Amino acid sequence: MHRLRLSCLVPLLIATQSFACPAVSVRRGPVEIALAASKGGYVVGEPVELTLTVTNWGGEAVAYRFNDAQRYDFVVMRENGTVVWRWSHDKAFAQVLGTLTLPPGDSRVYREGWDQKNIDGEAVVPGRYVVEGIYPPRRPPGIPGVAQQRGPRVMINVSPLLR
Amino acid sequence: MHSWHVVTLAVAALVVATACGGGATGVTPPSGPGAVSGTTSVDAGVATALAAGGSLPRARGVRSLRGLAVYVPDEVLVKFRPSVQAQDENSLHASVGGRLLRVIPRIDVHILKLSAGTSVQSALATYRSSSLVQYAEQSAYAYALATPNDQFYPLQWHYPKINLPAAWDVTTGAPVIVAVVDTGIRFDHQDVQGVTVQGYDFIDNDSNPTDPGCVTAPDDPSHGTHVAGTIAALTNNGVGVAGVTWGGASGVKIMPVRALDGCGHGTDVAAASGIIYAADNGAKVINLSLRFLASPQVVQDAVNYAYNRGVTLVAAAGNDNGPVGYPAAYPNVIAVAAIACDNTKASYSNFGPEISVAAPGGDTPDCDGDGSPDWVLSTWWSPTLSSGNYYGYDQGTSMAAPHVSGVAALLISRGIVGPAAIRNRLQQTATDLGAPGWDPYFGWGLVNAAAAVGVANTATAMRAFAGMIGGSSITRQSDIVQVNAAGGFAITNAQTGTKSVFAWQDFNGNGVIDAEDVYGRTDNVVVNPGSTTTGVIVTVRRYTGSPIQP
Repeated sequence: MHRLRLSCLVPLLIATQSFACPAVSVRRGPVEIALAASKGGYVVGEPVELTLTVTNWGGEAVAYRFNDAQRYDFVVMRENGTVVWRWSHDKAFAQVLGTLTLPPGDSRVYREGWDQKNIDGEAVVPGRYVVEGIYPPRRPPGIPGVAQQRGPRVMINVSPLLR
Repeated sequence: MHSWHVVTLAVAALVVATACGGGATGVTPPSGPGAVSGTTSVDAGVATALAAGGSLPRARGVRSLRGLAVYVPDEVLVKFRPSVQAQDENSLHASVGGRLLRVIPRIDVHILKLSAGTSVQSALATYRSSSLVQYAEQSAYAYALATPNDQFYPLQWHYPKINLPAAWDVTTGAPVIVAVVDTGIRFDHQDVQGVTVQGYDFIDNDSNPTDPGCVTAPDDPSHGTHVAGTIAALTNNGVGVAGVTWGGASGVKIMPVRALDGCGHGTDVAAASGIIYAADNGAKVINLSLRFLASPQVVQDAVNYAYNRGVTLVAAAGNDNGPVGYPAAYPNVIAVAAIACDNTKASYSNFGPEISVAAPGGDTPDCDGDGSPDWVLSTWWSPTLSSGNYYGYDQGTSMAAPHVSGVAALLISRGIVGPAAIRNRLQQTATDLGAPGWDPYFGWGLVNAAAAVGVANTATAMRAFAGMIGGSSITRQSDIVQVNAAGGFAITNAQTGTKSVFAWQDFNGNGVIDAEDVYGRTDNVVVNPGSTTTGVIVTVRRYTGSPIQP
């Protein structure tokens, strides 16, 4: 069984301070989806480590079905909601249907890094960014009838290099 | 509940074959394309021997590629018109030199043994010229369709679904390299031993494209191993599963190119690098059972690079029941939709104007009544399984695409080469599903392997291509295209310059222009870039020269 582990030791709270270790979770029935960033504040170009943890706190197994090999996603936005980067934007996924069954008390942990570049490969400017963890992954644009549930969001701050 | 099931084969008994270097078919990739169109003209000497539709009459001793005689050498079948009297029938038989063996009841077809010295050709000509006769044809041998002896072949419903057993009577594949740009494969699986050629790992950037499995989901099976097994698992070896092509020492070769990690994720750069590697290292078909959420230009550039080197690219349409994803949606890729066992669209299969053909991908219908949904069965491995040889079911357009890649390799084995010609062949011979003609869910229909490889008209289709001849070999400089029933042809990607245009009917099906064939050549055809040279006439006649390798 995988216990909920966050690389940042600050427990689940909504981060509003630049240098707090931000982590937040949302609850969907018995399943908790938690997102944590390794730090609250980064200097320009510093890798941002992101961890998404899915835990079944209920008494029964929970099953997810996936259209392909993608299980999760991470999105970075400006505070106004403009998407800056999406983990999946340059990814290919094997086109095989799959399932994941989470037994009671079990977790899955997904870790990815953001190199502070936008989807065009350009470095982002200093400022505040909202990171969202998405589980299960959203369907591609143009697929009707799919409700898009908002995932947990944390805020991070990117500062200029101090000289 | 994990909704896959695994068939375990406990004993690995197969002798390990050596890996093969795998020679590609000798195809010269076209470049700098121009177009040529024209007609074939039949020389008077063979005009009478050509039947309607441009195919030769059945001749004695014609053999399929598997070495079996197709026709009984001295036997013909004759059906008379209903009002013909018995004495007239007997009189005609006597004049031909045929001895009546028996009459097939109900349909009144006469079976005749020809006397020594009487040719089948002349006998048929006489019968066919008589107003008493409804039809006459040479008696053909019947053979059981190829049935591989692999242990789990009876569970592979998806092969008869695309008429593979009949196709296997014609060809089970030649050493054509099919690249599987995927998660890598498990080289220790008994059903891929000796099937692979050297590949590459663009995840770890080394020359070992072994699939390590998925760390975050160790139960998930090796996607690339499943795909590779569908294309070319060792077949007729008494164990495991069959492949669309019968991989092995003399069969189709898999080039594993690892561009997805063990969890099935990969980047655009890895995929593009994998496609380029495959094209540069002899692959003639590239299978892409993957999809991007975006449309990476770098992947499209890689696709176009491979296509322009004569590689056929096949990709999964995607599993969102929505628009076709990339790379399947690129113009130079054959986009494959998935069907369930009952020929309905798989519920997940993407659709749209890019769909070329459909193939089995599995879904919830249970056509064999075993209580389980019918998915695609192939080779299997995951980190949670102990070492051994496993087989399992999966579903998705990932599973449909390798069926088409395998059939494409069979076509290359039959001398139908070049991505445009292969796409056309697959589409023209597909079994129409859904709305008549093309539709966005099935494309031109369910891929039909037997029709594609020409079971019904083995080796008798006349084809045309551009190139240069030198001695006993031809450097082909275009795709080989089919000559239509009216004798016309349209070559769309000939190299520019002064070329020869060839028309060829490989009547004995041996892949060589030789004495059994009909052949013609027109020299000094000027092919200009971006334009069509029209009005080219190629006169064909029975070939009597030394064998030429096209």
